[in-house]
Formats: sequence, structure tokens, C-alpha cells
Amino acid sequence: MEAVIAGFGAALTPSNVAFVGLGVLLGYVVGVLPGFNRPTALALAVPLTFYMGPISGIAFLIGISKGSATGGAVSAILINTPGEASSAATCLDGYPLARKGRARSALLIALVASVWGDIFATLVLIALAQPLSRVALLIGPVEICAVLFFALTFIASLSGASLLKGLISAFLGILLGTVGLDAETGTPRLTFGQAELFDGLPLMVIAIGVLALSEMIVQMEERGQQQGTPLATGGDRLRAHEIRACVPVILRSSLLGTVLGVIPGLGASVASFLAYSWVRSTSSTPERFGQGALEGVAAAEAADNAVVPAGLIPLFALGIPGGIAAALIIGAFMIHGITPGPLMFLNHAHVLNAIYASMLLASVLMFAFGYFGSGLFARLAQLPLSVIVASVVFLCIVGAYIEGGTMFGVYLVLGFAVLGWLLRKFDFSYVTFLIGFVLTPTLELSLRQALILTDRNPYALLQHPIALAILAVTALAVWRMASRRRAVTGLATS
Amino acid sequence: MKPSDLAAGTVLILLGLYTLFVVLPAQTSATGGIGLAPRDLPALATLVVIGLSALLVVQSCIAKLPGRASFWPASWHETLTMFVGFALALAATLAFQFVGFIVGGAVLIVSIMLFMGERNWLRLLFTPTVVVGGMYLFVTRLLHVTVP
Repeated sequence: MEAVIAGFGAALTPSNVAFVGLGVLLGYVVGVLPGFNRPTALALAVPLTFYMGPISGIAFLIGISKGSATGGAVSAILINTPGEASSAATCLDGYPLARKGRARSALLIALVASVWGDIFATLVLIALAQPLSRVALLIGPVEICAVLFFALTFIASLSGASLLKGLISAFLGILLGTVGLDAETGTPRLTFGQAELFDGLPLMVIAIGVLALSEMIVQMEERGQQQGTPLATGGDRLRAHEIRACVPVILRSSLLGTVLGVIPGLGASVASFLAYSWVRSTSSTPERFGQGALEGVAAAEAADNAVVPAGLIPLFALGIPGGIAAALIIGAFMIHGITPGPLMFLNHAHVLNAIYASMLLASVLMFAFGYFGSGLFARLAQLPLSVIVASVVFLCIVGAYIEGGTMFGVYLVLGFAVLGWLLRKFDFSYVTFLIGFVLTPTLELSLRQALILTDRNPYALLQHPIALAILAVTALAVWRMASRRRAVTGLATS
Repeated sequence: MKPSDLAAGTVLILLGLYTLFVVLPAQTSATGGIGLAPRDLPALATLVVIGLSALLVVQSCIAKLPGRASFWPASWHETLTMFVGFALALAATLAFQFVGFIVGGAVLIVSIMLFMGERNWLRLLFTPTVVVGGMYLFVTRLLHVTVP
């Protein structure tokens, strides 16, 4: 209990409150602006955390994640263009509501649902991460290795068009993750004599290139197009019966978003659409959905926002990033010498408690910014795409320069931007590519330890039933998903 | 399966073989280390990439190919945009390095905005001033990073 109070003490310092507030505000802006998404913003923001303390840095990034999840609803409701992909489900009922002159009600219910979903999932994170990490500490390297293969396979099968391509991306990421000095022998690997590569390829440089710059190049294809004109936000008020109808929807969708957020690879878009479908299918008046039902907005937003904190549960407890945001947050942890995973609860408990407190603080700030700033954010949604893209490309170059302090990183970013563009166009998952890259050091260490423990004898695996069970579940999951995909493809062809 | 998968799989197999037989022997050590030699994980990852790419190629060959699908997945417009975007970013990086942060940044922003069809001179003037000026102050005064 004392540690929790100390955590709140560390989180409520003026500088930390300022960084959390700045993160949430930036996240809101990112969420509102169509074309500028959460991974791009996080990739650009991680190098900045080098200049902050660990608590402020991580809280700043989490603030951006949370703010963008909430801000995405503004443009979805007002201009029918989701600021974030996960807000697409919000458009279905949010925009019809705005066209009926009920934009204010839609924005308010989206905000309340977002904040509740976020707080609920944050509390689940606080309650679950530490007990899970205790279990994780009991398992050995063979089991960790099996868990990593499970996570990579699962993410690969869910985050792209094809399982094969997802796995290829993951192993390409692992291959690039081996660049640098070998951790055990200290001999250089794939460095081509470049001293700058001895520490490996910087995660942030890859993230800025593959996520941010390549995304901006794709956005340039939309040249000549302007954003829509936002509908007015003034006027209407929420009625008591509407609030009563939305409360159970928000509670159910928050729970669904939290459960789906814990599963690696599913992401916020799946959660928001599933929650929307669930609420519509269980409604006594499903015909209202798509025509302007407040429950539709509430369901999508509560689930979308619950995914952000829930996605941190596997990261904090097991050291496994469940999605792209968690993978980038690992980068910030590493900058401050903290390795996410079960040992973090033993070695850096005070930092974690302060991060939890900062996350709750971010939820409160989200509500304040959303409630008082909706008019301003509505105007931001009008910003032309050319202004956003040109500014973000410039920020990519500056971010890459700040990361290493040399031009080497900037040229690497340009190369990875082309790789990112190719991954997108050929429909390979850049998410699994990046997660494969991030997991490489842990994977290599656990694989090395597992091989030593089993003496390279496959039969020794029989002495590790948990690892065997995880590998069996991985194989079963792959088989199930592959057969489901075949069925879907067959249906589409017929 | 799309023909572009066939192209991607073939290129990945060729690159994988080149990595396995040329790059890895030259750039990694096959000895040393307990449990895993420095070359083992990159070699394993490359082998898996080659194997999965071969499966992708087989899958693409077996599946019915749509009549009008192309081996290159991007349209002419998208490919041109990528080249122009990359060229602008490269030019800006060179300007950033040899001319300086402010000029390089301003040229980059204005050229991308013009490329994207922006013709409002107020926006063309205001955007680089605010973004480059703001970032210059942020990077040099707040972060104390020396810029070119």
C-alpha cells in the first residue's frame, strides 16, 4: 500500500502532470487529424522520452495512446472520417447522429464511453498484471520460448491478410533484430563494418521509417483531396432515458474491449466492431443502428478505449507486446534501462506504481480535454491533408536525427520507409515485422537457455509439459485460423 | 492468391539464399557461444523466411490467378508518388545536412505541400514557419540538441 501511495506521489509531481497532460493533448490532436495515426505519433514521440524521466516518458506515451483513441471519435462523428482506424465503427452511428443535429450528444456519449472503458481496463491492468507476472516468474526459458512462438504466430495470423505473410514478416523482423554485437560472444553480426550498427538497428529508426514515413508516403497518394467540413457541435442535450440505455452498453463493451485487448494481435479495430455488432445484435431495436443510435457510438468507443490499457497487460506481466503501441512503448522502457516483463515488478515497482497512477490521471485529463476542447478539436479536423503530411514527414526526419544525434539514422529511416511501403503494398504485416524485431533479444536468450537445458534433445521437451501444451495450442490455433481463412476465401470466390 | 505474392515469394527466396550463402558467412561467426553460435539465429530466421516464401510461391501457383491482376501490387500513380515522396525526403535530408535545419525543413514542407496540390500561399508560408521554427526552438533550446 505504501508503494502505491509513493507511486501516486511520484505521478502527481508538476512536471509529470504536465507531461501526461501534454501526451493526452497531443494524442487528442493525433486522433482528431485524419491521416495522422497513433503508431506514427508514438514512433515520433519515443525519441523525445530520452530527455524525460522514466515515469514521465512512459506516461507521456501512454497519454498519447489514450488521447488518440478518444480523439478519433471527433472526426468520425463530425466529418465521417475516422481519425484512427479503430474509430471507423463510431462513424456508423456517430455521423448520422451529427447529421440529425445531435453531434453534441454523440460527442458527449463517445467521451463518457471512452473514459469509462479506459478507466475500467486500467483498473483491470493494475489488478491482473502483477499476479500474472508471478506466474510468469515460475516458468523457465523453454516455456518462455514456447510463449514467444505462440505470441508471434498468433499475431501473425491475426494482423495481416495471410498467416504465411505474417510469419515471413515476423522472421524478417527477427533477422534484422540480430544485427549488432552478439550478446554472448561480442562478435559483430551483419554490421558491414559500420560502427553505428554495433548496438543494433535502433528500434525507433525502424519504427519511424516503417510506420510513420511510409504511411505519409501512402497518404501523399490522396493529393488534391481536402477534409470534409465538420458539422456544428452546438444545440442538443442528452436525455435521461438515453443515458440509461447507454450505461449497460458501456459496461459490456468495456469488458469485451478489455478481454480482446489482452489477446495479442487483435487490436482496437476488431474490438470496436465486435462490440458494435454485439450491441446491435442484442438490441430490441436493431433497425436503429446505422441510422443514429447513441448505443452504437457508446459500444464502439468503450471497447476501442479499453483495448489501450488492456494491451499493456501481456507487456507488463510477460514482456510480450500485444500490438504496435506496446512494441513502441518497449523502446521507451529500454531507453531508461528497464526491461518490461515479470522482473519489472521486483526491480522497478516504484516506477510501475507511478505509471499506473499516471494512467488514471491521464483518464481524468482525457475527460477534461474532451469536454472543454471539443469545439477546438472540431476546427482541427478541417486541417488540409497536405499540411499534416508535410509536417509529419519533417518531424520524421527530425525524430530520426534526435534519436542518434547523427545523419546515419536519418538515412536508415529513408531506407526503412521504402521497406515499409513495400510491406504495405505487398500486403505483408508491418506489425508482426516490428514485433518480431522487438522480441529478438528475448527470443535469442530464451532459445539459447532452452537449448542448453534440453541439450538440443527434442525428447527433453517431454519434461516440459507446459511448453508442450503451449506449442500444441499454437499448432491448433494455426490450423483453425488457416481453415477458417480458407473457408472465408472460398466463400468470397464463390 | 495474388500474382504479386508469386513475385514477392520469388524475390524473398532469392534474397534469402543470397543472405544464407553470401552475407551470413561473411558477416557472422559460426563458432563461439554456448547453446547458440552468433550465426545460428540469423541463419534460422533466414531459413524460415526461405521456407515460408517457397510455400507462398507454391500457394500462388496452385491458386487461380485473377485475369487482370499484376505482379506489381501498386498502381502507376502510387509508384510515382512513392518515388517522388522518397526523392523529396532524400533531397530534404541532404539539404538538412549540408545547408541546415531551417532551410532544409522549409524546402521539404513547401515542396510536399506543392506536390499535394496546395496552392494557398498563406498556408505555404505559415506551415513551414510554424513547424520548422517551432521544432528548431524545441530541439535546440529545450532538448539542447545541436542541429546541422
